[in-house]
Amino acid sequence: MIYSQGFNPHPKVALAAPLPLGQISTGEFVDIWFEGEPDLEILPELLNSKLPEGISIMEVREVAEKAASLMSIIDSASYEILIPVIDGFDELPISAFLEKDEIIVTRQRPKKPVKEVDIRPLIRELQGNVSQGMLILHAIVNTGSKGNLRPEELLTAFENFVEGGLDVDKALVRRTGLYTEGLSKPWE
Amino acid sequence: MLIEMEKETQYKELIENILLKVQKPGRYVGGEWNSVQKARAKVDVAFAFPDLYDIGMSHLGSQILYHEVNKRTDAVLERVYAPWSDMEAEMRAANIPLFTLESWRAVKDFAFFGITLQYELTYTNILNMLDLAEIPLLSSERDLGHPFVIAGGPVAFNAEPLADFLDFLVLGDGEEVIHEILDLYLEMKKEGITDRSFMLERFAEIPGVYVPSLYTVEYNQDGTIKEVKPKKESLPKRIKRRVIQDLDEVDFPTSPIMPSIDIVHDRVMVELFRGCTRGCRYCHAGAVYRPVRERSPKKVKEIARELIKNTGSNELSLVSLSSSDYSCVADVSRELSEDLAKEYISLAFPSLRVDSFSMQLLEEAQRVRTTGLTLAPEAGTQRLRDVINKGVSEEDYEQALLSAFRSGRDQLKLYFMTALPTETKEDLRGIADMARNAISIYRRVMKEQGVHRRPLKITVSTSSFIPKAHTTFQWEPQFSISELAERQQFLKEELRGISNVRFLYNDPEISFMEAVFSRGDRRLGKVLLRAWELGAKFDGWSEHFRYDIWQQAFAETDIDPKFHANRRRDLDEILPWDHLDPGIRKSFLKRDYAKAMEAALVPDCRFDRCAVCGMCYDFPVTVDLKMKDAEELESRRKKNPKIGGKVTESSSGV
Repeated sequence: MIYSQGFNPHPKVALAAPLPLGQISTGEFVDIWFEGEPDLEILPELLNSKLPEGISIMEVREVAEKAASLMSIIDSASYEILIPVIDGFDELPISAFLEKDEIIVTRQRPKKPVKEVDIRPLIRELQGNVSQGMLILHAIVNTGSKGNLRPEELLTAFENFVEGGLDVDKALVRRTGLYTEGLSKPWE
Repeated sequence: MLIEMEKETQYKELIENILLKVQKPGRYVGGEWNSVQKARAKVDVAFAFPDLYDIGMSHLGSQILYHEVNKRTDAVLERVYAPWSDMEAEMRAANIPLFTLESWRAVKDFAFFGITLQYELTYTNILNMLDLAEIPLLSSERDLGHPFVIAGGPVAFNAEPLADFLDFLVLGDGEEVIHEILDLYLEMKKEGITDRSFMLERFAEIPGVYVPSLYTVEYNQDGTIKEVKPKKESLPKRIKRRVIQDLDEVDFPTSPIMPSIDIVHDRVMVELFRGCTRGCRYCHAGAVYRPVRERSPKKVKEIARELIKNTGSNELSLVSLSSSDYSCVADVSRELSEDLAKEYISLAFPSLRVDSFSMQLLEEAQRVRTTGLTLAPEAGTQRLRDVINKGVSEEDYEQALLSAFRSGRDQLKLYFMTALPTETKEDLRGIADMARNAISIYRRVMKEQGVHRRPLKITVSTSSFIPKAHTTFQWEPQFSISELAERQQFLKEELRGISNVRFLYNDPEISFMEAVFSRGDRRLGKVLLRAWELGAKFDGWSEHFRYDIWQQAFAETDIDPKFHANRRRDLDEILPWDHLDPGIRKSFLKRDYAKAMEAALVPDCRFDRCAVCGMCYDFPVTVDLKMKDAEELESRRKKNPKIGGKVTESSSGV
């Protein structure tokens, strides 16, 4: 592996979009810089033998040394969100939610003042259905440096819109994919 | 939001519900690299470091015990730490009992609840953890449905204030005795023995095991101890510490648990040797871990390489009480630092002496990451350093600085103790002089090298002296809280005006509490209990420490803390820890105390004659040096016939 230069050298590894604490993911990307040319056939196996339970390398691809970093090209993420329903819905008001001109949430980031953000432009797709007392949302939202929406912000906004009835504290968030422009995979 | 973990426990859902409501849930979830997932075994131990995960995970002794127990097929040891206040509140609200990280099973369902005693100010955390675990706080109120609550570690030699709460304590090295305890438990289980007090008597037969409830303490009119007596004749009058003679004969964990979150010291460690005979008169570790027993350089290197292979850590630390004193340090350091630098792994020596040899060692080792320099002269004048037998001269200090500054270091951290016995204003001024001296040496080096660097940054960090049990200063009073504060203020004034000096000092009230519990007797159990009821916990953390609570607890239990902290004890007084025997003789301590008052030095028995502390006479041990040079070892043996050990081959081929 290649090490960074400087005062405190560390291996060059960069996650495309580090997963927030407490979220589950079924698909992430990572850039790793290697010295020489590792055997791509056996690399996943080698890495998997040392990775903690729950994380495994699915696929490796070689990219050009000068290729743009994953972090700079990933711009959207898909999520599956399961929320226990307290009061039943007659009809899910998802299209009404999306038809709003703006959806304002308050955002508090550490050491920064609270600000109001319109998240409507950050939502690309939103679908949902209720099954066995669970509301299942499928969302594709912007992520990365050019606009980022956290699933919990979407959840809060949606709960405010439907005025309760959801047990947001017990929601389970699963990231199902990361995409570059046009919802493609990084190497496409 | 919810978090889902792969655990089979009845508390799974309850715990998952609260994890995201607290800071750093990584402290409570387990599953770290190299942590052990075992099916239930015949005997299980929940093992606590009674402080925050971030602190406890840096503790080597815990990793050693983890390895010792978990290598058995019939036993399992799982970890637990003191939950931070946010987690505690959530656990109490959701009725979740204290649980271990590995399986999330309740601590109360284990056969043993083992606790390591590293410092006295974790005592209230221990009570709090017992309460969270739903285990009765008092040993006398537990029955066979409860775990045996046991403790070990350096503070076990003076843990009388915990006598009411612990079922038994273990004195000394744990590698052998832990197996004897588990084996005896399994044997008694097989025999169908269910009488808890009978079981405690059986445990007391194991050398090194101390069952406080089997000893009675009587007091004199003046509050001092009249007699400590075993309740049965078969019990030893003094409980002798367990000592491992040859470190090469015991296992060392080469697959330590690697935390998933940041901890205080995130690095892997090799223990070079146990014990230290430099003889610093304030030092508790120096008193209770004698004699020096070295691990052979061959083993050290093997372990180091295994550690790197099994962990991927980027820092390897060669630890001991004074690592530059390791007889094979130059060889080991040279070889390891060369190897490790190739893999961008840095080699660290956390405790080096103040001398030029140590500095050379440091320069050689630190190829990957250079850090600031930390030195601990402990006192500001030669006279006071002689009183504490520190054996660091002005010249050592200057040579160390010269060598460090010449290699480009521009940050210096100095550790001192204030309010030491016999300390005067002159000694405090000496600390400021040493800081000024460092600046002038720094400037001299710049001139000599013809370079200009940014000004030297100095941190002067002081802690108030705390007299400790089993040390030469065990009879000494601690100065009063106001006197401790005045001395800090005096030094602060003295340091004012020296450029780029930062002064750090600790809370005198916290030091006072540590002094009370370091040399207290079992009557203090009442105060502990009351203070805990009033909300005391994490007393070593200034954001949690509440002196008002302690004052109230002392008043309500009618106990005078000054009796324990600020009283000069009579040399013939029976001390609360006299029946616990680490091996250093009281007669030696008395002689050494007299020498201290004359500022006379006592040499290190590794390099000079034996000072007859009694350790190697009363216990079946000797100083064990694994030297490279046969002649050198022979000449040391001539000075001190108590030196054993062997000449070891070096695998480096030098």
